[in-house]
Amino acid sequence: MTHPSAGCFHCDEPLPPGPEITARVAGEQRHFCCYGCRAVSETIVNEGLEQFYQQRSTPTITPQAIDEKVRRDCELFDDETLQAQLVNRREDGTLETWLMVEGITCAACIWLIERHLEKRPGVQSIAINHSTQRAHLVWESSQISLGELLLAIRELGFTASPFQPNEWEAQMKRDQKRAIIRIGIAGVASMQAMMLAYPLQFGLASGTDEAMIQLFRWASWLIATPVVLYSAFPFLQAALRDVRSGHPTMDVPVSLAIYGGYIASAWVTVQGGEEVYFESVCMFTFFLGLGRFLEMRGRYRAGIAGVSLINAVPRTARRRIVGEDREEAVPAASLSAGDQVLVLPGETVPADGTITEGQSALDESMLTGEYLPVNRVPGDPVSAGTVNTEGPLVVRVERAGGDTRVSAIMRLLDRAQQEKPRTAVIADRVASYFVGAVLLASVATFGVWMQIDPSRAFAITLAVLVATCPCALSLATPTALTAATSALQRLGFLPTRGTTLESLSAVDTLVFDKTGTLTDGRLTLAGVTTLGPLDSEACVSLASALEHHSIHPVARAFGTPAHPASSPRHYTGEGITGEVAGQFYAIGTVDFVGRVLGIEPPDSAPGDGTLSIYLAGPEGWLARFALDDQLRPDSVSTLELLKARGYHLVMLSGDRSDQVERVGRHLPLDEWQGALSPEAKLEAIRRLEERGHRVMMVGDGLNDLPVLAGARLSVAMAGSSDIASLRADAVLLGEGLTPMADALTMAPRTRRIIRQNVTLSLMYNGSILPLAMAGLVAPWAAALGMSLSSVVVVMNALRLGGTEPTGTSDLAERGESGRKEHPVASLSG
Amino acid sequence: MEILYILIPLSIILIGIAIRVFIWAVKNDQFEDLDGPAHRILYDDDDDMIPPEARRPGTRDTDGDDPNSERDR
Repeated sequence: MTHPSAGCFHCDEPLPPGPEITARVAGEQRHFCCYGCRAVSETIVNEGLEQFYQQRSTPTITPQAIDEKVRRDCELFDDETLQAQLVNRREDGTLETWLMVEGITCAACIWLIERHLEKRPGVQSIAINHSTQRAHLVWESSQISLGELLLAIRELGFTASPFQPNEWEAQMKRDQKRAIIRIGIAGVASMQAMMLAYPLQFGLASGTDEAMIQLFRWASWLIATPVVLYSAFPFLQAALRDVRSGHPTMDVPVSLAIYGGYIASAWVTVQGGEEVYFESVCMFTFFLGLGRFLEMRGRYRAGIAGVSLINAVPRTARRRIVGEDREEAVPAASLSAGDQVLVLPGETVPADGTITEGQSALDESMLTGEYLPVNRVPGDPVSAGTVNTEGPLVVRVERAGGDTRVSAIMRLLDRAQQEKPRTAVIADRVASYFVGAVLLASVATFGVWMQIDPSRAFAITLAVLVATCPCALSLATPTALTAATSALQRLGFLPTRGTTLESLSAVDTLVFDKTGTLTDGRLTLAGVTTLGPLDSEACVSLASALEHHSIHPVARAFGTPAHPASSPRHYTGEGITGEVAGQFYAIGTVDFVGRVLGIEPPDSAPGDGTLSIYLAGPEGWLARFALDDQLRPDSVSTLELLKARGYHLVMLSGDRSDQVERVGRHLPLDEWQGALSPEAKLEAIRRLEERGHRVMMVGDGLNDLPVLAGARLSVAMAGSSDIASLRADAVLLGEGLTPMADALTMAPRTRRIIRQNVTLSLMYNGSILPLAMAGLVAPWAAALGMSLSSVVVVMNALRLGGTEPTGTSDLAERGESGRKEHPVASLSG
Repeated sequence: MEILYILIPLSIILIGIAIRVFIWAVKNDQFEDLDGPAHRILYDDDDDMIPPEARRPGTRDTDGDDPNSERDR
């Protein structure tokens, strides 16, 4: 049985009208949306990997068909100078590299890529990390080249590019390993120390045999030593830094309890005394270390998610060899002023410079926020990071590496981050009082008991230290944040810093970028007006066939054709001609199409500010397509919801076109401004803060970076440049703004839970303190009280993960329809 | 109870060994991918390892239920 009405068997996109594309897969006739999907599907089946289709949990992305350009891109990596930077030679003569794989949607994709590559001759091992989606590849260069391996991954519809882990990542990896070892040691040691503490605290080993007690104490000491010296060392480091800078955080009381408890217990072991607390010290270190580790993992994942930093500026460039008419592949970093580089359509400009040959439209949205590509001719300047969309360009490099405009933005970013306004965090405020109180109480206890009974003074002071051990207090914030973070992550909002959720509840003004944030950031078909005998579906299908060979943003609006046009010709800035089913068609500006086909222009287009593209063929004029960078499907509803909640909504855009005004009028915004440079945007945010607003910035592109860094709180959209998501306080994971509204609901609830937790733990510490000062607390009671208060705090925090915030029921639905929406489907609207 | 004088030092030595093994495992990237193994176990890609006499005839073809129903979830 077949489902002609359902979507493509491979990628689930709707099937295009026209001749069916089918193949036999897993014993049945399947339908596909394009030849690219069918080719991938056939590759999968030919290798006996069709299990993929049963195991996957999300639809696969639509693959890009492999053409000459893809092949060339892959072969570029066979160049030796480039490989010297990316590939390591191992001791046994094999080569290894790391790959960034794009397009992985679920675990089945990883399985598929691994199996597929393992079948290539010469591949020694391939392992893809599920958390980071990065592959480690080892192969023999005598049997297969890196380019062929990259092409093999392309065959499955995924894109892979080699990279060298950068400094940040390597550091993060080392930290993570060290943290795992720290937690492991603390965990194993806690169990052992507890086993030894049990007989001590409940008198099973005491009474008769003094030597036995000493054995237990010395053994506990030995076990606790690596925990205190190694596992708890980061707390001590942080505490010392806090003390020096005069801003005590939770680390100060934590270190006081751990190191105070340890030293005092050691003293008791040697000099004799009432109790040792080695097991409390170990357990405390383990729980806190675990909390910190979970926080760190979230940050690491957020940093890695999305496109990588290295993708913002291309790593390779085609440098003209002087005196010859060919290019060599060189690392972009090695370019210098005066070099000539070739930039092919679809490639990113590697350095700032001036065009010397060729003309093309450049997509500068990353730098300026403008949604339409800008036409550039010889003599015009180009910036690194912009994308060439039409014809090949030769650029004379003027500034490369650290001198480019992108780098200048990065420097502005660093400065903005330092001057960022901050929201006070509850835990840190409590901590500063707490440190004072504990110290005061300990000193007072010691002083008073020295008067009453000097022999017990030390033991009782130690009991006070343990009783006030801020275990519950220091768990109060992290547990609530971890619970809220994991709940929000499921909804599509990933906080990347510990303070994000608390700052979020203080925000009263939301500032949005336009392109890529409120809008999709790409051109989509806003409407079709038929001018000839064909209906709109047939026109769109003709248009997509013609535009198939172009990588101009206009082309992407028409989707993937079933049958691309033959003998296409590009006219830069004007349009494309080609043959479909033997007939000559033209698509492009009205003047261009009229000139090529020699027909009179139709009635003028309505001046609604959208971009108009015309299609004509042997029958005469066929259709006018209105193209626009459309609002995200949930922009209006989310903004209305936020407005109703009383947020002040602002849009700051770098775009110069009149689209700013249209979007501004259409959305319930309080203020909007267009044509702003990154510096001006930052200035606008500062003015808002000066007026007493607490600002959160939502953006995506490079041009938003300084503003993102300078705002009190910053949120990066999914698919933002890596630098944006790395520096942002939170990342939106899905396509859409709805998760942000959920996060804004969740934040005050989180803050409330944190307050409850802090109150609960302070109540415990406050009530046990007088008893401990009076010398009335038995050690087992202190240990029990500490554990119980911690459990209460953790349970309270877990309430955050259990309930679903409002506005989520229709989220999945909206996300689905947003993703699958086909241009044709939206025409009726 | 005198046996404890031997058992407790012995247990400390064992912890020492366990921690050494753990550190070795972390340093050898065994804890690199904390999510992967949970997924990997689900794939029946050990067909080649099953000896021919133990194989049910046509295993690979018959266990493929309709992938469409899978996707509709």
